[in-house]
Amino acid sequence: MRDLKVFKNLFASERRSRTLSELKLMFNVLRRSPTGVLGLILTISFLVIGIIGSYITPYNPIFIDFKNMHKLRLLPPSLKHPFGTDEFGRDLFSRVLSGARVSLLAAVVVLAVAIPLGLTLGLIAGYYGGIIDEIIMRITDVFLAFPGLVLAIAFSAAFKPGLWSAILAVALVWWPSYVRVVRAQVLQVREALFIEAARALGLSPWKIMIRHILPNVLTPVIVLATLDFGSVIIVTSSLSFIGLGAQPPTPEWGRLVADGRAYFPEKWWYVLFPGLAIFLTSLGWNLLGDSLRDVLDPKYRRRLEFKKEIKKEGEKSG
Amino acid sequence: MASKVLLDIKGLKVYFNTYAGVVKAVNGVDLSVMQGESFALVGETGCGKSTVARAILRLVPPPGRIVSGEIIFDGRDLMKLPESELRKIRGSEIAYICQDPSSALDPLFTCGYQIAETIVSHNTVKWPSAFSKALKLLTRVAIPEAEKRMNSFPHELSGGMKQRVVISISISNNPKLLIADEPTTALDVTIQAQIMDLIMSLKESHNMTLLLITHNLGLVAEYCDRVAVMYLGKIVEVASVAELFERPLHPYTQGLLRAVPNPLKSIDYLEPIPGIIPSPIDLPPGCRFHPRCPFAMDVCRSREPSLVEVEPGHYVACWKYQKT
Repeated sequence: MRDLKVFKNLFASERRSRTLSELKLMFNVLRRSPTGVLGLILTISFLVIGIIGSYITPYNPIFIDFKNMHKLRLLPPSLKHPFGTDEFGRDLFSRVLSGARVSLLAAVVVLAVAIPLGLTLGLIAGYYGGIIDEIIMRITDVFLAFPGLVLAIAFSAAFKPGLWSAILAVALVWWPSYVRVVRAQVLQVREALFIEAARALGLSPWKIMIRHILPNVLTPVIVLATLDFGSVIIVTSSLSFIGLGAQPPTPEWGRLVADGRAYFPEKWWYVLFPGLAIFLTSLGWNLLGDSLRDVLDPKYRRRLEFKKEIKKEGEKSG
Repeated sequence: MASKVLLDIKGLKVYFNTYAGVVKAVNGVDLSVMQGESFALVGETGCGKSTVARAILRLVPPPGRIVSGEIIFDGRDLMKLPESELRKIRGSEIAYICQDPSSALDPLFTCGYQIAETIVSHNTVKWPSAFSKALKLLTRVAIPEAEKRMNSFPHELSGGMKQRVVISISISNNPKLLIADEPTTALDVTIQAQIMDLIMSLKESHNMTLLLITHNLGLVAEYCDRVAVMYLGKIVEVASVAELFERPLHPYTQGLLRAVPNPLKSIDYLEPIPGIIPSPIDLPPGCRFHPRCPFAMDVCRSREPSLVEVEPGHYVACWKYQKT
């Protein structure tokens, strides 16, 4: 029994060092692409601002100071108000900062609903095939037949307008793309010999699906989820922009752009800064997703290592 | 051999519905494998021998389906068992070693995990003890540095080592029947001998019965007791290995033996079997070998011969040896 313990510890430590070196390798590949680094910086700053942004605002983002409103209204960017102020005299910098939280919340909730749902349905459809596949995929097709944004508008208009109904609406239209991606991957993986071997070893279908198929289809899902993080933020902002998402006084980027439109272009900062926030965030997630695809592809990584070796050889030989 | 029959296949038919037509991959196969023997199923590529192996575990991939037949394993008809019962037999009582070890292991898990997983899924044991049993198994299949290999991922191993891991997975639950579907085809010749020796020694020590599926007559001669020759979805000859190599009766078997070099005789040329295998969609009438058979008679073109015992233990399906 003691041997077993030693043996298991041996396992654990080696596995840890393996995972660590794998992560290091991934990071090295990521570091090599400038767009990837930019994406990483943008997304990390978004995450940080999203989590702590509403606690570090210099002014209260919601409170309206009616007494001094006429003096504070629509001030251009200055040292005191880096992003200027809105029509109620509130500091736009504070509102944009705390708006990040709403966007982060929306993206996290939408993906937390869409990914598990998409994975489950995609796995079942791809693994079992036949009539089950037909039923799941036709339902998915119905959702995919409408443009996502239009369907989201329809859903959130049907619910009571508000942040949560907007998030629910986006989640409802978001899962079908995951079903499609997962199913396509499952169709490929389930033909692999090791799946047949697992079946010949008497593993149950659920065990095969969860232990052997799921991990093998996860890579494209991770990439898609990263890319989608930005898209979800754009879509929820769009819903808020047309008044279906977060209701005032909640600071939300899409809503801020919508409000600022009335004063554009004279009071350009009102539209510019929230818009810039949306743009940079979705750009960051897109760049990160793009380079994650390279990082998670072992063949591409191998090619990079190979290039490095050739370069070293060249330097050595002169 | 007077021991009891472990696996008895009767009238097995497996058809594949393809767009080109119904492919009759296995068309009425009868086989009995005795307990403790090593039985070989030989035949050309595409004759249906692997399909027989899969049909035993009821794992014929779609669009194939088992049309009819009985597969009696250890007193139970596998065709009638519900899927959940059959799952208990797969991997514990009947183990299957497939052709290509490099894709038979999940690339995302360590070898040790994959062995332990099979143990855990068939027994009520905890993971730690399954892992320590996995290590014992790896040592048993003579993998160098077994402890290190427990943590290795399949891509870090060579083909021969992967096949050793696959073998250790298949014997992990002490199966009664080991089906080895061309276990050495993907390996090079020196490793082939090692792997076959390993399988044979495990067969002895675990009291297993071996069903070896191969197109390599050399392996059959070296390692097997009895052999069945398959041609286009049917068994044409069954005999003990000594008998078959000494006195092949079926013209197809004779042709097969002429087509491989015999190390005991010096030969100037190898004689291929004339003609090509007919399409399994559009089988010739009568004996399916008659278009290529040098002894073809009129009766061969119209009626199909059945497998009859011409000598004790030697069965052949050919009109040459039976009265019409």
